[in-house]
Parts: sequence; C-alpha cells; structure tokens
Amino acid sequence: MTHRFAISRRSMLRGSGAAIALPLLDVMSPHTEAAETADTESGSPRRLAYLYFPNGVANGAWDPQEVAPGGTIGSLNRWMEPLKPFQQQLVVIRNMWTPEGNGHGAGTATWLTAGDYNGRRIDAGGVSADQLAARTIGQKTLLPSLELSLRGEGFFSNSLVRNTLSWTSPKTPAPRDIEPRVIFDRMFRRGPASTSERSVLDLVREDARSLKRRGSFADRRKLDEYLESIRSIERKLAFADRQADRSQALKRQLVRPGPGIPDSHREYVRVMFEMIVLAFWADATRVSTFMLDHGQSNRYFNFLDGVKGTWHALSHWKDYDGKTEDDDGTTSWKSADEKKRMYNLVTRWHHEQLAWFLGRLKSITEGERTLLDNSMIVYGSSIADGHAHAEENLPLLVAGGGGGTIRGGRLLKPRREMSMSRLHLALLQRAGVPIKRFGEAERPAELT
Amino acid sequence: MAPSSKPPGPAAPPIVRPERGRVDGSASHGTGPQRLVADEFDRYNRLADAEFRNESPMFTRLVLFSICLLGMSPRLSAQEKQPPPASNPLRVTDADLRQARSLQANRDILPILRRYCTGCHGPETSEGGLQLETALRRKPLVRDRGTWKNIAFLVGHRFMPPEDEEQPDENTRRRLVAWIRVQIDEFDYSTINNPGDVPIRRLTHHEYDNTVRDLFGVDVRPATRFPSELSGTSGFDNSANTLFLQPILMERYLGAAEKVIHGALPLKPRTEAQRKAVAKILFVRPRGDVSDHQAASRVLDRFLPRAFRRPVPESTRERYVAAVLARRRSGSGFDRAIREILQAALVSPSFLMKAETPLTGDGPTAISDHDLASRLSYFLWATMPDERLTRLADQDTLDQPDILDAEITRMLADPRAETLGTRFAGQWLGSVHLGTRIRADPIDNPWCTETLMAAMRAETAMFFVSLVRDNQPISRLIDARYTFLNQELAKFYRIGNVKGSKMRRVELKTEQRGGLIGQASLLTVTSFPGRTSPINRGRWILADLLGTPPPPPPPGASELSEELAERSRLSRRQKLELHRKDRRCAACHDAIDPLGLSLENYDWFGRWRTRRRRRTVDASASLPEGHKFSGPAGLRKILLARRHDQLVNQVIGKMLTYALGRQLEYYDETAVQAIRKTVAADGFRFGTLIRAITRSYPFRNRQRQPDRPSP
Repeated sequence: MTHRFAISRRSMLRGSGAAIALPLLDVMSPHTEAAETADTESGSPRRLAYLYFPNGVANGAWDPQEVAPGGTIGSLNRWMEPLKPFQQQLVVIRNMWTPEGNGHGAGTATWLTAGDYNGRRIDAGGVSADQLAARTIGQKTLLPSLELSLRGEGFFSNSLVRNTLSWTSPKTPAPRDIEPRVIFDRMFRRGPASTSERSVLDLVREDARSLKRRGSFADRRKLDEYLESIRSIERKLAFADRQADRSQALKRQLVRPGPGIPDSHREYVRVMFEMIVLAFWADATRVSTFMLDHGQSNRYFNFLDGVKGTWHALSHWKDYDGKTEDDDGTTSWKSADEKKRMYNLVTRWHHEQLAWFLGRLKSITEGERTLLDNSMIVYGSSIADGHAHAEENLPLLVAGGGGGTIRGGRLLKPRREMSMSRLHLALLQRAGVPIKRFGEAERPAELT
Repeated sequence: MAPSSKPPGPAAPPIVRPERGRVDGSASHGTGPQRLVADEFDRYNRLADAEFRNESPMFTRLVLFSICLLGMSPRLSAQEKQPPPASNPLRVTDADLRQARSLQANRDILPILRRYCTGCHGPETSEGGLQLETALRRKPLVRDRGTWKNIAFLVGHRFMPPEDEEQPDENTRRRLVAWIRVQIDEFDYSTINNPGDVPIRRLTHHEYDNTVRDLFGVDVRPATRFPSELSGTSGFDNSANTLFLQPILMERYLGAAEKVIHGALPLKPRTEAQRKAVAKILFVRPRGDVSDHQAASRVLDRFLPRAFRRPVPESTRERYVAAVLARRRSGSGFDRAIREILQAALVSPSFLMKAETPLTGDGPTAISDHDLASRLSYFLWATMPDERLTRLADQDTLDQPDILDAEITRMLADPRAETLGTRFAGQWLGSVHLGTRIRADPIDNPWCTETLMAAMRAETAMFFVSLVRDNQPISRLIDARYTFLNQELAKFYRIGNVKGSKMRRVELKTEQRGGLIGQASLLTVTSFPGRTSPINRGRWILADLLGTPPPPPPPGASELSEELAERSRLSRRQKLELHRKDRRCAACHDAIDPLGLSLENYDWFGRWRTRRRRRTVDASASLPEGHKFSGPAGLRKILLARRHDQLVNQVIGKMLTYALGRQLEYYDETAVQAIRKTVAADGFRFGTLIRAITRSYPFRNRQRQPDRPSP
C-alpha cells in the first residue's frame, strides 16, 4: 500500500515528557510518483474509529438547539458547543440503542457486538464491529486494529466486562493499550534483528501446530490465539522492513512519547488521540477503538473548574446528598441542578478533547481531501441518562466524511427506535467489509 | 434480573396502581381506563417526569394506578384477591413435593410457563436474558441450577409474574415451585459420569514468574511488567476461560524471555545463583571430543522436558538442535546460539501453556503421571513440578496412593505451598485486592502504608496456610484463637507485645479478633472509602464465604426514596431498617443486613471502634430464622452453629475450582458430594480435603466435551 502524505501544518503537543510532532514538510512516500499512480486503490483508504465514553449524558444535553425540518442542524446546544467548528461534518444521532445488551457492564461490552453479555461464560454475543473490520481490511496494515484505553481510576477499573469493547471472538476480549510510548513503539520502534527473531517464530510455530494436531476443539481455539499472536509479530517485522526503506528523515522527525502516563488527564487523553492520528496517517492501521474511560468509571474530574465528585457519582445527578452506595462518602452537592450541571461539564470537557482530535484529523491533507474527510468516527456511550441508566436514545454521533459517503451537518432521528447494529452495518460496509448483515440488522442506517 | 430491554413503543405510560381502598371500582387490577381521582392526576404527572422503570419510589407506599392510554391493553383479567408480594411467600409442603414428582415437563409445566411466563420470557422476548422454553429443554435442569433456583425463589415470593400481569392460582404456583425443587434438589447425580475437561491455557502471570524462577533457580520476575490480568467470574485468575493470549502479551513474552536468559544465564555469570544455573543447564560445551551437535543435543535433552513439563519427542528436540546449528553456521558463537534457542523455548506454547496428554477416545480417560505431577504442583505451589515429582512421574509411580500421599505431605510442608494462602485464599476471599484496587490515599491517611497493607494481606494468607499445614478443621476459619501479626499490624489492632517487622503467629486473648471475620484485609475490601457498608459485608459473607449469594434485586429495586428528607437524622441501622420494612426488599435483606451489621465495630479499614458518629455502635442482629446474636463473637458462633454446612460446601467448591482451573459444572456435583463425604468422616480437615481433591474424579480424569461452535 502506498500513499502520499502531505502534512500542511506542524503540530506539537507538549507536556511533561510527552511531545509528539508530525513532520513539517510535504512527505513523499519512498515510492516514486509513477509507482503510485499504478496503485489499485482509488484515493485514500477509509478509516474507522469508535470512541467510547461511559456514564451517559444528562437528559437533553445531546439534542441540537435548532434543527431545520429536513434534519439540518442549525446550531448545537451549549454543552456541545466545542464541536461547533465541525458541525458540517457531524451526524448527531437520536433514537438509537442496543436492544440486546445494556447497563454499565453489559452495555459497554456489547456496544460493538450487537449481542447480549453472558457473564458466566464471558460471551459478548458476537465479534465486535472493529474486529470484523480488522479481519478483512486490517490485514493490509501493520496492525489489524488499534485498541486503546486509559488507565482506570477507582472502583471497577479491574472489571473485565467494563473494560472490554473489542472482542476478537464472542468469547475472546481484545486487550487494550494504555501507555502512549508502548503504542508508539508497536508502530515505529526498530525491532531486534529480524532474521533471528523470524527463525525463533518458525520454531515455536511448529510446536503450536503439533499441539493443535492432538488437541480438542477448545484446544485448537486457544492455540489459534497463540498462532495469531505469532502472525502479528511477523507482520510487525515486515512493516519494520518496509519502514527501513522509508526516509530515515521521517523516522527522525517523529518524536517518541515519554514513558509512563502523563499526570495531566487532558494531556493523557490528547496523547492517546495523537496515537490514533499517527496510526491513521502512517497507515499503521485503519481501524481503531478508544475507550475514553471504562464502563461505570469513577474517575475524579475535580481538575475542572466547578466540578467535584466522581464521574459515575455525577451521572446519578438526582442523588445529591452524597450518601448513596455510589458515593465516596466525602462529596455531596447542594441540589440536583448543581450536580446535573457538573455532569454536563464533564461531558462537555470530553467534547473538547474530541474537537481537538477532529481538528488534528482535519489538518492532515490526503490528496484533495483531509484525513477527517476520509474517516468515520463514532463517538458516544452505551447509556443515555446516567441517573436512570436509560437504555434507549443513546448519545451517539458520527464525525467525518467517510470518503465522501456520509452527509454531515444533520440530525439523524428515526421515528422508531433504531438498533445500533444498523449503524455498524452502514459503517462497516463503507469501510470495505463485505458483509450483508451485522447482528440482527440487514438494512444499514441512512448516512448519505 | 436485568432491567427490561423491551422497546417501549410510543411513549409508555407510567403504571400507577390504586392504593387499597381508595379508588372506586374493583380492588383488582383493571382492564380498561379507570376513573381517576383528582390527586391521582398530580401523582401521575409527577411520575410522568420520572423514568418509571428505574425510579419507582418503592416504599413510600405510593399509589400506583394502572392507566390504559392509547389503546394499550395489558393482558389482565379479573382475579381473585392476591396477597401483596413477598408478605406471604409460598411454603411448599411435603405433599406438594410428592405430587410434583409425578409431573412431566412438557405435559404439565410447559403449559404453565406458556400461559404466565413466556410472554416476557419466551422465544419472542427474553426479558433479563431468560428464555424459558429453551431452558426447559436443557436437560437435566441442574445444568442451569442457579437460574431455576432463582425462578423458584421469585415465583415463590410472588415477585413473578409481576403484579400487573395475570397471576396463576395458588395451586398452580405451588405445582411449579414444587416441581422445580424436586428437579433441582432431588437430582440423582450418580447418573452422571463426566469428569469434564480444561482446554490448553496459558500460565497466569504469577505461575509464569514462579515457573521461570524454578526452571533457572534465579528469581527474575518479568511478569510484573505484563498487563494486569482481568478478573472474570470464576473468581480465580487460573480459570481457562479468562486466560487469553493475544499479540500484545506475546510481545511481552518475547521481551521477558530475553530478560530471563540475560538475568539467569549471562555470558559472564556474576552471582552464585547464576553460576549454579549455568552449571546446571549449560553443563556441556563443544570441545575436542564433543561436537556442536552433541553439546546442543545434551543440553536440550535435559532442558526441554523440564521446560515443557513432560517428555519431549525426539523430533522436537532435533528441531531445536537444528536451530542452534543454523545459528552457528551463520556465524554466532555456541554460547550465544544455545542461549538464543533456550530463549526461544520460553516462548513456545509448550512452555507458556499447560497442555495435557491428548485424549484418544470419547469416554473418560485417566490423566498421565506427568499431567498429574503438573496439576499437583500448580495446585499446591503455583509452579512447575520439581525434580522429585518429575522422577516419580517418569517412573510411572506417582499415582500410587501411598506415594501420592507422601508427596502431598512433602509438598504442603514446602515453603512453596504458601501460594495456597496468597493465590487461592487471597483470590477466594478477596484480600488480594488490598493495596492494588483498594487502598487509602496515603496523603490523607499516612498510617496506611504499603507495609501495613502487605501485612494485612499476609495475615490472611498465612493464617489460611497454617490451617492447611496443621490439618485443622474448616471451622477453624471462623473460630481460630490465633492469627499472624507483625509489629505494625499488631499496633493497628491495638495488641501489644509484638515486636519487629516479621510476621509471626500470635495467640489471641481478645475477642475482638480471631478467624476470617476479624481480619482487617477482608473488612477493608468489603467497605467503601471512608465508610463501612453492612450490605456489602453481609453480601460477602453470604456469597463469598458461604456460597449462598442473594438473588438479584427484583425489578424496581432502586435507591431510597427522594421523599424521605429526614434520612440524615437516622442512624445507619435505622436507614437499613426502612428498606427492610418493604416486604419486597426484606425477602433478601433480612438475610444480608444483619450479618454486616454485626460487624459494625470494625471501621472501613478494619479498626475496632465502639462509637460512630457520636453514637455507640450497635452490633446486634438476628437471622431470618429468628436467632439473635451480637458482634463478631456472636457472628462466629452463629455461623458455626447454623451455617457450617454451607461453609464446608463453599470451601470444597472453591478449592476444587482452583485445583481444576475451570468453573465447576453441574456434572461436578457428584465429585463434590463424594469429597464432602470423605471430609465429613474426618472432622472436615483441610489436609483431608486436599487429598480428597487430588483423588477426585475430575482431578484424575478428563473427557472430551461437546464442541461449542464459534463464528
């Protein structure tokens, strides 16, 4: 796969130890122009990303302020104001839900699977949408997909069901990266001498094959996991070889993030977003999911002006005396209105980070379009109003142009509740996955 | 049950029911629009704002009024007067059970389910994930024991069918509940002969570190940098279904293997342990009369069976030898080449995963001696078998009863058996979470040091192992009169005369401590930051300690009412009283709350207190059956007097789960019963229990299980 990347604006993100820069100059791929026109793909590939946040959004905070009769958004409401610069490339969604799996745990785990969650068997009811994409279009890139999360804070940060969005099989959670430097290295680090590593992989792969021959069905499945891991390492070696051809200048200009996790949450979130930008730009992958927090997150947002309490506690905005089982025993509020406002402030802060991310994507040109034009970004939650744990009318939106296949600037609000499976179907088809149904859905949602 | 996941259609009207005696018309649930009384309108309007399904205020005795708007007619019929739910739970008699034995599923039970239940729990809609028609077809019913028990509970306590739906008459309800009881409680497990199976699964991170340590004799501990294991539902990290091996972990294994070889077998050994490792593993090098091929063969011939924990076919060894020679040919020195291949062995699935001898038939098969050695060592030591176990397995004598018994004795006395405390008991009881997921912020709580939390965890772990090593009865978990302390922890408990940081056994003179329920680690992981939670502690006792978890909350069970403004004046106990006043809640909370309330003398970090918020702590409680008790001393007595059976069953079940590395299935009940019998005949001692487990059917046999297809 060859692409020409033209970076029109240098972007720096500075923080304690974390500095990322994309190259300033027009960067040609190592292949000549002639070779490029012989490329089979018309235009740049489409990228797909799912950005998940927990704890829902207060009632009313997802509805645009003004909507014209045909669905065109006149203006967003004040909580979604940070997204105003990208209004023309947003499809705000109402009346959509996941019929099968809901709630803090099951809802998170099944957001992308269209199934119901069986805790006893650890079964999410289906392969997640991103992993379906990874299986087909992901085979062309270094990493079939990129799964990112943030290091959790507080109660539930160890819960498997609340930390899993992606499933490579209905019963196999995909692990998620949380450390920026580790992610960067997966894509760009020069590995050890490839020949030696390759022969090691050959050796142990044969061990796996012989074990598989003797084993039961369940054994074979487990060994397939192992073999898939080996394959991914090999892909990385192949990518590293290709990168060796690439201009060394390119590699020198990418600044490796500092180790560990930034102290500032804002910086942490942005560095992680930057990893997605890098991954899409370098074509290290075309599919990514990012959990902006795990289900039922109890992270404190006291660093925001005027906010106190954990996110999950805030989402139960009608309980303000601070004495429910969800509370930490020290924070209380004066009224439900005060608490609801704080809940909305946390939501809005996340929109600000999304806006930053969309801005980064928009700043990268690909031919006649931008990376944002060629992307499909789903952003939302598996719960509507957090206090009621409402399941219908999930806060969702799609950003990006989908390579010209998504008509933005409007509200998508079907008259009857629509299953999110139809959204997944619509996007997966646009991404190039050859499927006719996803979950129970056979008709894709209308996004054009 | 999960909240309803049915789409509501056009805006669903909230359901409001008549308070008894206040509304004209029949006392039953109406079929059509009711004549609304004026103040009902107001309440309706307020409720219309609340999202009913999750917010119905329960125990304000709110008037709920069934309104049939928009032509939505509920399937209701005039019925005989029903007692309010749960105030009059069904009591199944022996006569009921007798009659139920002759009932048949399809002929007698299915019609009941179809009439009253499958509208919501059937093929078209499966509320809460429950599809009764398929459940009824899964025979024997004990396969879904938990589900059927819940059904019997909810139907017997009249939570189901929900109030606004058609109710079965008393006789029908009786038949259904009695039939379930018969199917579940009277099932003859001797008809089942399935030892189960565990698929190949990788070593846990702890097992990986320990195995590497014992393979090389150098404690490198690379798995501390691995992504942390997530916890699934069996409660143990060694359960096959939660152990995944994905690319990101593979990358870590590659790095770890390099780290281990450099740390244990450096080209220039510096420490004694390294010298010993090199002498043991790389015991021969090529020289005059020894070729590369011979040296490599001899090293690998000794190393691979140890690393892979079973005899290795010659073809495999030859492949590894060939890899060494290939490196030699491309210019590497022998020392480097052989190390690289040993490193490769550490990322082989034969090392990373526990694989047992392949099954040949479809019936139950005894496991081989090498498999037995591995199962024993990972069960009792969480590490690879040592040389003696391996030698006995090579000689094919390990499974002989007296030899096996002697080995178990040796293994329990070995220091490595401490993992029964740190890994088994720690995960079972939850003390592993202290210090990681659960801790106090040291800035606000400077007394909460890492060493204190480590001592708290160690107290529970060492206590448990001491019971095993001393072959104490299971009841000692509750009523032991000693524990393990160091100076810091003793001070925390206000126990004097313990000096130094080493943990040691201390006989207890105070009634404030003793047994699991007095241990700070467990009291802390069952509390919230800054405050205790009697409900959490009660639930922990019921579910984790005794294995009798309360059923999930019924629909509509949510927070305490907003209207109860005086809550702040009430004590914790009084608040909990309130939600036990509602019979729907009391059904479960009468069992949960008293257990936790009796521990209120322990604060949120397990410190003893006699006062809380200017009131004296009241630790009095009573069981649902009526027995009264008070404080931890009372709780200890009552647990042993009234819940000993459950405790024993739970310990057996949990330990068998840990030993097998999988969740127990319905067919394991036979083995559990057999173990229980053996253990009961010997005073319920831990040593007997462990031996019984290692002799049990599922521990010594495997059988191919039906495939579950995956997409």
